[in-house]
Parts: sequence; structure tokens; C-alpha cells
Amino acid sequence: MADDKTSGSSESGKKDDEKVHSEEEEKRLRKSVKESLKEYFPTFSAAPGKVNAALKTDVSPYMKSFYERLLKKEEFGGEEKKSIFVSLLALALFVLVFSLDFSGRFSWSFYIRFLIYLVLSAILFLVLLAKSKMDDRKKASYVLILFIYSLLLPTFFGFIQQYFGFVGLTSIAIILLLPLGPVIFLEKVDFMHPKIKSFIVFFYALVMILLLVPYISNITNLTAVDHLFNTLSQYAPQVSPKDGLESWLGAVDKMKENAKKSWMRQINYATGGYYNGVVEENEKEPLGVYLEGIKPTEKQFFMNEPVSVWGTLKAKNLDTDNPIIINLFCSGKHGKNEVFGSINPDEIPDEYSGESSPEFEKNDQDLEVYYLDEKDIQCDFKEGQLDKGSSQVAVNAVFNFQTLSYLKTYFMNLETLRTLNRENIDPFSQYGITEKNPQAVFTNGPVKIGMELRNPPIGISPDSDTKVRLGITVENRWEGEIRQLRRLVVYLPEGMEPDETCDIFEEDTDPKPEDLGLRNELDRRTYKAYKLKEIESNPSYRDIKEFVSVVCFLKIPSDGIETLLAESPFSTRYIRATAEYDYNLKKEVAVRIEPPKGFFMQISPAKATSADSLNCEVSNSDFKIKVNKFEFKVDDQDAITPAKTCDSDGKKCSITLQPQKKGSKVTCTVNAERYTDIVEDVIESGLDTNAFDTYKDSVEMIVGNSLPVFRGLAFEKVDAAWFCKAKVEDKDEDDSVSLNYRFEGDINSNGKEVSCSKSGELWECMAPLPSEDIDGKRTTCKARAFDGYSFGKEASVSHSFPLTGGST
Amino acid sequence: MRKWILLLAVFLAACTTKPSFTSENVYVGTDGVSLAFTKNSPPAEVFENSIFPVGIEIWNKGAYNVEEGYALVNLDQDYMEPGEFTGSTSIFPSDASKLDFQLMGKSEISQQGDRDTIGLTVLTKPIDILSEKHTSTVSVMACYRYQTFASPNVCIDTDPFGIRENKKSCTVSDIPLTGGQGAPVAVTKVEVKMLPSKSQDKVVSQFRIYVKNMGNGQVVDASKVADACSSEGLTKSDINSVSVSAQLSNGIVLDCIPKREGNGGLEGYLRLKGEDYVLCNYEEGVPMELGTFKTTLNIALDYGYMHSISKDVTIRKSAVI
Repeated sequence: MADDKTSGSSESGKKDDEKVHSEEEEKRLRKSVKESLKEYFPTFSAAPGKVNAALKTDVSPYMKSFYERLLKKEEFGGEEKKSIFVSLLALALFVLVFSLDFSGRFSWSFYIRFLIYLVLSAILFLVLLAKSKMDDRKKASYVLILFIYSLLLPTFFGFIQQYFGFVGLTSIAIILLLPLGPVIFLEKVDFMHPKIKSFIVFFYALVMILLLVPYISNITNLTAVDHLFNTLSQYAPQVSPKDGLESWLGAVDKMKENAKKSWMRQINYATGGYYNGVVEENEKEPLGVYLEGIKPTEKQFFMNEPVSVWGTLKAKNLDTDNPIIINLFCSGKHGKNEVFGSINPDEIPDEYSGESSPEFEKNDQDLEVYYLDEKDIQCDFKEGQLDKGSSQVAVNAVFNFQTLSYLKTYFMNLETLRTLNRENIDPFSQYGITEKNPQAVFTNGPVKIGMELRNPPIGISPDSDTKVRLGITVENRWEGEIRQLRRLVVYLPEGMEPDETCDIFEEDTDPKPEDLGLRNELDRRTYKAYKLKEIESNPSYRDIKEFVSVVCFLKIPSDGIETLLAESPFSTRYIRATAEYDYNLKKEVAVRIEPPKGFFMQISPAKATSADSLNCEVSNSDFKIKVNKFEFKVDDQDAITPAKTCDSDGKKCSITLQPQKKGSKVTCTVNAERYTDIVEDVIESGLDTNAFDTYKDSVEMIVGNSLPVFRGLAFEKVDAAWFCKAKVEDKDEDDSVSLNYRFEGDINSNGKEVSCSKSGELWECMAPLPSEDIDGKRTTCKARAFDGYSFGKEASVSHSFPLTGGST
Repeated sequence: MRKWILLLAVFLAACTTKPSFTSENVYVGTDGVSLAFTKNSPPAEVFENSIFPVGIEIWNKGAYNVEEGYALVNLDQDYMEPGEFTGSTSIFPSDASKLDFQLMGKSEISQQGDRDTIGLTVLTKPIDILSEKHTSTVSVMACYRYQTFASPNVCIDTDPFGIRENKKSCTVSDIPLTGGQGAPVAVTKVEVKMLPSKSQDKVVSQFRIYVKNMGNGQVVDASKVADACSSEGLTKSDINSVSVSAQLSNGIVLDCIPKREGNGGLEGYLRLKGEDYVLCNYEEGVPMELGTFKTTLNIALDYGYMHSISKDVTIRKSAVI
């Protein structure tokens, strides 16, 4: 045993010795290889013998593999050419995609220049690199340079976009393909450490993802992309990095929002709250109103000049009896306020010719389209109306439109259906039906109507009523929102009717044939119309940004089998729905507004109201200024000269005036000059400096109506009756103020108006609750004040009434 | 005496050739009544507010006569309505009547079988205002009563255990029947077995008859043919149900199981699920002294059959204003 033990320990000792020996050998070999590499690495091609020798040695698998690759490189010299070929192929693919996509466009000169520059530069680089006698390490470095260079290429995309305004897949293809050539080439470079390669690929992927984020989040709104690319491209000075970053972050938010919407849709679909459909293919142009190519007239505006954006409005309507009425308006931001520009064309004469208000602009009808129309539209903002810097201008087109939808379904005798199912016989094949799972089909336009019923065929019985659940989803499809759903009518074929439990629909006693998609009501006389109740007063059907769904049980009475099947074993029937709505299509475009060169003065806000203090500002973009006269004049009164405040650099000064009465004419006058002890270089340049040495100017404005503002909104009990009480402040000395209000929730009412009474500085308005049965109910009072000229912002307050009748 | 008469009958039957109805080649194939649209009727594309023809060819390609047959056309009522019918009977279900037809099958005289063509016009209705086209389906369905006859020669061996030393004239074996019998439902195989009888001097012959639906339609009970082409409900017993009867050439009627209540009392029937079989026995038994001989087994299947064809028609807007 002892011998055995000795023998055992001796064996294990031997093994240990072998292990140590092996490790030492490995170390020795590694050292030898390292020294060898030092020797032949720069001129590897001259040292195949060393590689072969190293391969014969028992080296680690990694080193062996490394040697083999070295040897392969040496033995098969064509490898390098092959990699260049692959690289060129990738670039050629890019050219092909680009060419195919742009074959229909006409701005060829820039396109060709760009392509030549792009392709030739890359080819030249690669060919030269391949021909070069430099060792592979250096080549690898150059490939790295080409890779970084190729990453910059997509930044020219911003430049192309200025010319072509293209979006979508092509953009993605370009961004992805441009750097692909070098990446493929990179794969073939042996002398680069795998970790470095991995890092480059990872870096490439990261950059691509970051570049693609704005596209994924909002494929049709390229504002963020504009900023991002402009920051990098030659337009970089126009957009600050901060703006670019903000836009990018905005795009990320949008992506998150879209993902959330998509997720919610899926959840709703899974839980039965979302009903699907497919859009009907129109071979010709899609239906509805489209805003295309909205862009500013200039790349950059100055504050002392008007800002204009323009584009093309296209409208197509197949229902020639009901024209599309389009209300166009455009808006931007000035501080926290929304300001409206004037829009052209306005072909419908306005009933109201006074000062335009936001309410008026949003509802003013401008165009009428009977069949097909295409118009160039322009939106102009007065100088100073928009914020300085990067600003968003939204062009809106509000139009009435309707979407029709139908859901084909099949009916058959329930007993037969059960029998066929039991026998595992497909009823569709049995009765020659090819469309086995029809989806709701809706007409093209801004709104989708999805509908779902039980999977067909629906078995109906002559002995009992059959009930099926109908789900309808009205969904916003475009960039904008459904401002108001005006009608939703469901048409059921003869033999079907809403179940008693379905109380959201009522029979439409005066259906229109066009709601059924017809011009003549006799064409489909077997349908009965049921309209959604109280659609105008229900807030769920206003400002729909995503979708709204309704569900209703339908009943097929036992005698309905005779009409639905009509002696046939199998019948095809349609459930139809029509939605009429006002849609607010919105396209946003970024404009850049810079301070003007030289002297400039302005009053802000540009459209001041009696609630605003007025600020008059004079500035010079380049020089320090000296203000000699700076005053306000209100109507014909004496001039007011408030103390001026100037910036630390002395280039800008301003004076402020307290709020003035509505209708007052305020004039700001300035007399300024630049300090003459500087900018001698301007004089040396030979320019006539008198033109910008002194500055005299005046700006005037009329103070507008201020909006009534809520100073309180609450439920209040007065003499056993409940009211929604509002306190309204109106800075104008208007004669009257009224309150438009409605109640929503358990207690509902349509929009009503009540006059307000003056109480000190404020107006008090009492909106009575429409019902006395308030116990245990909850309602929301929504109100807007009106001063005879403009509506103020809507405010709301909710209240729960306990069962005792008291308040909580 | 009776025994000798039976023996003589069996002997004579074994010597005769096939019966006349199987002697012609018309009893092959798996076709029954076929339906087809005539060329471009209906056309693939039509315009709204227009008329288009629908031509339907009904052709009895099988070997049996149709004495009770119905056909109906199903239209997408929202977009089409029947116009003039060129025949004497409207076949639209909305008019509460089906076209009933009788068509002779193939025979020695008429190798093709009878065929008929029905022509009708269909009016298209306006499609939706906001649509440019709509696709509707025109389908035609036929339901008819049909039969299948098969007459394989079977070997009756009264010495199943091979006790006697006589040389047997035939050997009992399974008889495959391929290619159909001129009807969509075909007898595909007959298995023959000789079983001991209670009586010492007899053997029971048992035939396992395999039947399969070889057509592309659906088998229904023969008495439910009219219901199959209507809105009437069909129960489980109405679907895939085939009545089976079998007799030997001497007129001996075999007892087939399973059974059900038929027109003339209990009858053998089969519920088809893929390929199924029915067992038919001659319970009385064949006397052993008859030895081994060949005879014809006449099998008759009685059933209803329904199938349909359809074609999609795209209705286009006639003119965009």
C-alpha cells in the first residue's frame, strides 16, 4: 500500500512537474514569440519562416490561431484585394439604393456632385491604401481614419435634405450604408487587435443608434434631425449645440411616447379595448388634406423682418356633394404665449373683420375643396412676433372629414356550424369563401375606424336570440388630432339590432345616404342606422390624440335568421360605420431668428394687451451704444421717459412702461449713437460709417384686448342650491363679462352661458348645477370666461357630493 | 332441395361475366356533378352600376343519374343583385327558390354525361363614395343525391382451415378497388373473411367494405340534400352519412352494420371520417359442400353530395368626377 502510495505520490509529483514544465515552456515560448514578433512584425511578409517555425512549436491555441492567420495572410496575398472588392461592393450598393430612390427627382446637379464626391473619395482612398507598400499596421490605422471619416458623411445628409426634403427609409439606408464599407474592410484587417475591432464596431453601432433615434421616434418630423445634422454640418453656426441637444432629447421623448402609445394599443388590444382594421387601398392619391414641404422661406430670419413659412396644401375628396371646409392657421411662440400669423390663401370671406383673436384664427374658414385641390400656402409673422433663437412654427389645417368603414362577416345556421366544427370541416372551404378572416376596411384619411365582431362565421339559431359583441375604435392616424368627433353612426343589416344592454347608441331616424357610402339611399335600403348618443357633449370625443373605443352588444333575434340567411346556407353581410369629425392636421417647422445687424429697436410683447407691461429695447449687434433720447408716448399725452437700463456690455438698453388701456396707441422713440472711440478697423476698411453711427427710430403699437383670467373657480352652495362659482379678472374696462360652462361626469350638461356681475376689481359668475339629484355624484365644472372680445383659457374644478347631501 | 338451388345459383353466378352496368368503362373516376363558371362569366373586373354575366356549367361527369339536385348562386347583396335569369327558374335564394336539376350520368349511349349551362345577369350596385374598388365573391353551390355501385369478384371459401384435400378454385384475399366507380364517394377496398358458423356445415362470409370520399365536396345524408342547400340546420347524423347495401350476385342480401332507421326499415350506413368501413355478413352461412368459388359482391352506396365554387369579382368605380 505504502509503495502504492509512494508510487501514487510519485506519479502526482511527475504530473506536477510536467505541469510546471509545461507552464515554463509556455512562458518561454510566449517570450520567444514576443521577441520574434518584435523582429518581424513591421516587415512581416519577409518572415514566413519564423511563423512556420513558431507553428511547429507547441504554443497555446490563441497564439497558434494567430500564427495561422499570419501565415495565411502571407501565403494568400489575394486576401487584401478581396476585402477591397467587398468594400467597394458596399459602396456600390449605397449608390444603387440612392439612385433608385431619387430617380424621379429633378435637382440633379447637386445630387450628382454629391455622389461623385462621395463615391470617388471613398474609392480613391481604398484603392490607394491597397496599392500602398506600407505595412499592415499602418493600413489598419488608415482604415480607422476612413471609418471615422465615413461616420461624418451622414452629416451631409442635412445638406441634402435642404434640397430634397426626403424622409424615411432612404435616410436610414444612407446612414447605415455609408460607414458599412469601412466596417467590412475592417473585418479583413488582420493586424488589428480583436478588442480594438470590437470597440470600433460597438462605437459604430452606438453612433448609428443615436443618429437613428429621431427617425424612429418621428419619421415625418425632421426638426430634431435638422438640428442634429446642422450642428455637425456646415450650418452648425445656425444652431447652438444646446438647441441640437434639446431637439434630440425631445426626439427621445417622442420615441418614448410612441413606444408607450404602441404598448397601450397592444394592451388595449389584448384586453379587448382596441379594435383593428385595415385601410382601403386607393390606387390614386390618398384622401383628405395634406400639408407637404412646409419650410421657412429663409434659412435664417432677423428680428426686424417678418418670418414666413410656406408649403403646399393638397386636398382630395371623393364625396363631391360634401366639400371639405379647411381652416388654415399657423402659430408660434412668443414667451409663454401662443401667437398667430396671417395665412394665405383665405378664399372664404370672413364674417368678422375686427382684430383677429386666437379663437377666431382657429375657427376661421379659409378654403373649400369639392374634389381635388392643390395650393401653395404661406404663413407670415410680423417682425418681432416670434421668439428670438430657434422657434417652432406650427402650420395647422382644420378640416371636416368623414371616414367610412365596413366589416364583412358571414352568417350560417348555428346547428350546421356546430356540426361542421364537430366534424372538423372548414365551413369556408365548404361554401367557397376565400376571405376567411375579414378585417374592417376603412377609407383612407386621417382617422381609422377599426371594428371587430366574433370570428366568422357567426352561427345564428332559429330558436333563440344570438348576441355578439361589436367593438369600434376611432383612432387618430396622422400628425395632429381629432378635434371633435361629430357623428359616429353604425349601420346594421336587416336582422340585426343593438341589444337592450347597449344604451350608447340610439336609432338615427334621419340617416344620410352618404353615411352608408352612397349617393342614393335606395341602393342599400336594408340597413338601419344607429348613432352614438351625446357625442358633442362627451369630452372623450374631443381632442383625440390616440384612439377611443366603444363596445356594444348586438342581437340577432330568432326570426332574424330568415332575413340574414335568406334561404341560403351561408350569407355575407356587412356592419358599417361612419365617423364625421373635425381634424386638426399640424405640421411643425423650425425657424431660426437672429438679432439684426447694426441698430435695432422693438417693443415687446409685439401684441401687447392691457395686462402687459411694455418693454422698448434698442440694441446694436456689434457696438456699444449711447442713448440720447428714449421715451414712450401714449396717445396724445406728454412723453414719458422711464429710467433706462442697459446691459453690461453696453450694446442694449431698454425702458419699461406700465400696462395701458385697451386701444391706446403707444409710441416708443429712440435717438442713439455708437461710441466712436472703437472699431477703427471698420473705418480703415473704407466704409461710410455715418450710416451706422447714429440711429433715430420710433415704433408704435395699439394695446390689444387682454383675456379674462380666472382668479377662482369652486363649487359653492347658495340657499340650498349648488353653483359653480367663478371669479374673473379682466384688465380691460369692458362692459360685461360672461361665463361659458358645462358639467361633465355623473351630472352632465351641454354648454351654457351665464352673465357675470362686477364685484370690486373682479367679476363674479354663478353657474347653476343642472340637477338637484346630486347625492353621491361627482361632476366637473368646465368654464371659460368671455369679455365680449375674447375667450380666456378654460379652467375646471371637480366636486364629489356625499350621499348626505353635504360637500366633501 | 333448397340447398341445390342455392348451389346452382352460386355456380351460375360464378360463371357469368360482370353485370352489364359494370361492363362499360363509364364506372371509373371520382367525379360526380361538376360546377364551373364559363369563361369570363363572371369577369374578374366590372364597373359599378353595370351588368355582367354569370355562366354556370353543371355537368354530371359521374356514372349515375341525378334525379334530385339543387343549385343556388350566392351574391354579395350589398354590391350585387340578380338581374335577368335566362332559364325558367330563378336560382337565387332571395327569391325563395332553388334551381332543381336532373342530369343523366355517363352511360353506354352518352359517354360524357349530361351537362347544362345556366346563364344569368347580375347588376352591380354603386360602391362606396370614398372607395375606388370593392371585391365581392360570387359563389355557386350544388347539392344533389348520388349513388355509387361497386361489383368486385370475391372468393368464397367454405374450407377456411384447408381441411379438405380438393384443390381450391380461388383464394380468399383483400380486393383493392382503385380509380373510383364513377362517383365522388368510392369503395376503395373489400376485405373478405370466412368465419365458422354455429351450424357445423356452414361458414359465415364477412365483407369489410372500405369507403372514401374522393371528391372535393362534402357528403350529406341522402335525405338531406334539399336542406344542405338551404338555411336549414344540419345535424351530426346528416353530415358524412352514407347508406350502404350489399348483396351477392345471386340476390342474397347481406346484413350490414352499423344500422340505422332507413326508408325500408333498418339499413346499413357509414359515417365517413377519412376512409371508413362497414361490415356486411351473410349470417345464414354458406354450405360447406359448395366448396370454394368466386362470386360478385354488389355494393350500393346512397348519399347526398354538396360542393361549391366561387370567384372574386372586383367592382370598380365607373368614373371619378
